[in-house]
Amino acid sequence: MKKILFFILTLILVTPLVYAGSYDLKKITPEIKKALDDRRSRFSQLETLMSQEKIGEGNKGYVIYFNGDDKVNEVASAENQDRRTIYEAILKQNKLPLSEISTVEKVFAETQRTKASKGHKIQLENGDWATKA
Amino acid sequence: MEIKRVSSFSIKHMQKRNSFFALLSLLILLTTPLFQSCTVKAVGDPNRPITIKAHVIVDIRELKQTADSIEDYVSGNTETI
Repeated sequence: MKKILFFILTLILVTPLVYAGSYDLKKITPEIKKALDDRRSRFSQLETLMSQEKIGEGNKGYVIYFNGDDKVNEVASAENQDRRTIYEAILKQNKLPLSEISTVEKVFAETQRTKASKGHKIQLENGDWATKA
Repeated sequence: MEIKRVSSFSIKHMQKRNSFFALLSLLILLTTPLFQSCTVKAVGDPNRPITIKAHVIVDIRELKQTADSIEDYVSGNTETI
C-alpha cells in the first residue's frame, strides 16, 4: 500500500513539471534572427534616445515614445515591431494561444527594467514612471 | 504443486497491478494539461454573463531565462542566445 501511495504521489509531483516551463525559444528562424539582429544593431541608438528621455521602457515589454521628431518615432516603432515578432515566436513555437502574449510581455518588461541603464525612464508594474537608479 | 499454484496467482496479480498503474499514469498524464488553464463560465443573468478565467499553472522560470539571454544578446553582452 505504501508503495502504491508513493508511486501516485511521485507521479502527481512529476507530471506538472513535464508540462511546465513551456515558454522557451526553441528555434531561431530567419525571421527571429532578423528581429534579434535588428534590435542588436539598434541598441546603441536606442540607448542614446533613452538617455535623452525621448523614449522610455514601458511595463508591457515595449518602448514608449515620449517626444522627439519622426525619426525617434520611427526607431521606437521598429524596435516594438521586432520585440513583438520575438514574443509571438515564443508563443508560436510553444503552441500557446496569442492571448498568453501578456504573460510573455510582462516577463520581458521585468527583464528590460532590470537591465535598463542608469538614468533611463522605466515604467513600473503599477504604471508609474521612475528613473533607473 | 501447491507452490506452483501460489506462484501462478502472484504473477497474475502482479500483471493486474501493473495494468492498473499503467492506466492510472496515462490518466494523470492526459488530465494534467486540463488543469493548467481553464475558463469557467457562470451565467446568472443572461444580460450580464460572468466569465472567470483561471490560469492555474504558468511556469515562467524558463521564459525569464529566455528573456535574460535575448536581452543580453541584444545589448551585446553575449554573442549567442
